[in-house]
Amino acid sequence: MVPIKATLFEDFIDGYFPLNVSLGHMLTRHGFSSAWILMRVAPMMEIPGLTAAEPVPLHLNPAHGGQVDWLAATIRISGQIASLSGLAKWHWNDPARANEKKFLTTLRLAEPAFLRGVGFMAGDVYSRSLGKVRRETNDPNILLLSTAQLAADPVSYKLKDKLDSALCWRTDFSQGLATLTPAALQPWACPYLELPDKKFEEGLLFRNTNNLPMSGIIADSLACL
Amino acid sequence: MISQQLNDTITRIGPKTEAGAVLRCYWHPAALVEELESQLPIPVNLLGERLALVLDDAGDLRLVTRISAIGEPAVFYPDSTEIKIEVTGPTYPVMVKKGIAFAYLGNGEAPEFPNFDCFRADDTHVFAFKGLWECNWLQALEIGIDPAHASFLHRFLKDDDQGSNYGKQFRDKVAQTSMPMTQVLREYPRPDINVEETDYGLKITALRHMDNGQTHVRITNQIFPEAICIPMSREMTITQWHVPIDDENCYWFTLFTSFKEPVNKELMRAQRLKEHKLPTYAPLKNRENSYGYNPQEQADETYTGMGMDINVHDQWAVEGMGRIQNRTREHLGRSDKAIIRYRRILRQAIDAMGAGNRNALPMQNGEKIKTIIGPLSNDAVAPTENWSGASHQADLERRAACPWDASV
Ligand SMILES: [Fe+2]
Repeated sequence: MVPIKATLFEDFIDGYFPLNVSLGHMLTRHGFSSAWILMRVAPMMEIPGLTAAEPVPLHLNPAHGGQVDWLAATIRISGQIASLSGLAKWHWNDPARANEKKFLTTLRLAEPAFLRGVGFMAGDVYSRSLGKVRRETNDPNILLLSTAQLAADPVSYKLKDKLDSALCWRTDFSQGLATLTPAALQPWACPYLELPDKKFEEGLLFRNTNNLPMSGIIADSLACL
Repeated sequence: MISQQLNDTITRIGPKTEAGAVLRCYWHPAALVEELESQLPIPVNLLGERLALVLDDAGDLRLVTRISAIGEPAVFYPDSTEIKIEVTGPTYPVMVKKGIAFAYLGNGEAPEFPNFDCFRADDTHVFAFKGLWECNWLQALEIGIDPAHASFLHRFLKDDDQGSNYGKQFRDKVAQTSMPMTQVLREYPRPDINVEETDYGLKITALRHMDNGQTHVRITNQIFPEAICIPMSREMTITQWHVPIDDENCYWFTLFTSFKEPVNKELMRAQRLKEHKLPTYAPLKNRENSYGYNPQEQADETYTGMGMDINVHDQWAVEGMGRIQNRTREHLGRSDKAIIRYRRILRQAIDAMGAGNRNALPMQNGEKIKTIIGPLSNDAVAPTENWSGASHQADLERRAACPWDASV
């Protein structure tokens, strides 16, 4: 378990740009190198023939619209844009696209979208899903947890086969790190729990989940189930 | 751009609709108390239902179903002698607060009223009025949570003397300065907008950073589901409900709340009666007469050319979008943050009601409702580096000078 610098945040990202561009703007705006994000009910569109650099036309055709019901992902800055890894539930207005399996990160949001998440700064702590993140030396609030630690934790055993790449996990360690025991780890529901065939890689532990931004994140992720 | 199906879901409010189920969890203004001064019953057309206000056997006001003819106009206002009660139809409780008769059309127990300033101020400090807008309630609400529109739609090209501006929106001087509000809105048209979710809905902060290291801070609020609370002048706030008559018409009901001095109700009523026709409170400026549009006025005085009453500007903007705004072709931008957050809350509320979880809706959690006070709603000019503290301080000072308990 490594204490890392992490910031809970809420933000609006722009619509109309490709999603990975808007998310890249957001990471740059906050000075984050990576983030874990949760987005709900965001209208989206994909206009046939429109290249990434072209603006959306004034007259929109609802047949090209749809909605991101929810998206839970880790994002990393990659040049100007963000690369995404995670899960999403979405639908298009066009019934012919009902069985689409792959979520294209170049689709465009049809309006600015509100999102919540946890942001990380560049540093020297290796994380598989977040890139190299900054260590927190002063009064750590969030810990990065990796497979090695979790293997020794019987309480969470039944979960560890169900979790995919990075995710948020909660526990309150109100008395500080010294009192933290595996039994105190209370995994909290997250969309990743729905995937039975995925392996747990990494998670985040929060010192204090009793605050407004955190309760928003928890409420949003419960709603994604 | 949202789908037509979603647009229908969030706008339609009749019995058995999803948004209608959410709205029916709250008290809604049904009539002005001044309407009750004529012979009861009086007609009430609310949430797609055809109703009438009567006195029940115990002498209490109650909303009952009235018999209506097929094809009856949406804003039908028959004489009391012509109202026939449907004795087997639904009936609903009514509660009078500060000049408005509120009705509860939902199932189960009605929620408590929150302790907003408009409800806790002395009767002498609150004035109620209403007016008809011929469009869906949601677009009427959404203009009220867009802090940028005032810099365009309500732009006055000249700042007039402040003498005759009692009881009018945006015609006061800003906070402690000598700068007219009209000048701030005109010269700083691109506010930074922050939106926070609260117990009651949304707190919306619009920051207009000015040239002199000062920031104009305007704090307004969305009160779930269909009200706003905004500052009107240094002395008064407006709490305004956009109450659906049916899917294509709504009434705005406003409680004007004064902090220090009693409201001059006679003057405020006379100002508004000049613009409305009774008994329907339909505005005299409307689509039929092009809202009084005057190209010369537009060249010299106002952005719209539709007169000095900002209510007419808003009415034109929201009615101009059609009876129910076609959101399948809209382009929301960053200044629409509050609208986007609001729709998200409304959709969460719709989902929660679908899952039988009414307690998840704002202000539906029993005892805690009474502890909701305020909300803070003011204009202030503050040093840019400390706008938040200074804005809050200015509000506290105004509240401290108030004869009724306005403490927060
Ligand atoms: Fe307005």
